[in-house]
Amino acid sequence: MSEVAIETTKKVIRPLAADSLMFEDARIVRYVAFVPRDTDPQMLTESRFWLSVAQRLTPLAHVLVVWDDRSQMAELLVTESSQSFVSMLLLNYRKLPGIISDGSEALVNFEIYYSSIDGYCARRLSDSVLIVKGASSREKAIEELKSHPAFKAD
Amino acid sequence: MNDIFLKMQKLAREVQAVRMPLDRLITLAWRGEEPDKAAIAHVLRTEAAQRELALDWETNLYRHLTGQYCLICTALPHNPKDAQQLATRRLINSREACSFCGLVEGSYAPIELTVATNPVGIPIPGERVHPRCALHWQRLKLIANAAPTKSSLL
Repeated sequence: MSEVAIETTKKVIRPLAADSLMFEDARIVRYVAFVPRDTDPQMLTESRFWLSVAQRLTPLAHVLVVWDDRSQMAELLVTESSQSFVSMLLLNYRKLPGIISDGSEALVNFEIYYSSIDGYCARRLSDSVLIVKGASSREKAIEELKSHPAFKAD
Repeated sequence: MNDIFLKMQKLAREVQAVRMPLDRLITLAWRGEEPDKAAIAHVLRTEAAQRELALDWETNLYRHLTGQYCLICTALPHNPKDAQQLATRRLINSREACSFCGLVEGSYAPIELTVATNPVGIPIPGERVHPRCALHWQRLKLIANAAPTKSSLL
């Protein structure tokens, strides 16, 4: 009998207070911020970066940060805020497929040009050897160049 | 198939942007030859062909409201200096012409052109583009913005 009594006391679960459930939008504000394309993601958690908007932020606010060339995205949570100070928590950061390809340093030795006879060609500048010929677009030429054995050798 | 795309790409590179009946476009692209115009027109009218031209051949081809066809070259310069020159040129009738390709739409402008936006979707007043030029216009501006700004003399 005593065993049963212990079991019932263990199972007591206090129900959630009725006023603790509410619409998410009633408590949490979500912002989106567009930042210049040269912004360093490390800088986002610095209080100084948010100086001019600190007084509009409240604790628990979420800020979705989008780089204005759409190349990166970050999600931040405001943990405390005052008139001029915020402390931010970086929840999520990811690079997005940018709408322009970032100029890769590996292509420095190559010249990609269009000729009306052969289409897009890629030439190695150091010894002017034509490596890719007849590609249909610049992206295709770069793709073909990157899969070329001569490219990997460099 | 590739032969058709190659010819259209070559014509687009030469003219940049042009609007004329499909029949005349084919005549121009195959000048000096006697192509099977009906068969080529049949291919170029299909959505699949137009999509492949846009994705792989840096060429936009689509039917204009008038029933003529627009052929637009979307190849972009890859050095910021040239891009800046293209992105900052101002057309006299900029409300009636596409900022990217410069094709003057005249009274068709309200239907054929949309307000340009930056990559995060904020409209740029005073810049109108064809919906199919919009992405390339954004790319061009991003490439142009990558230019190192001239340091002030002060």
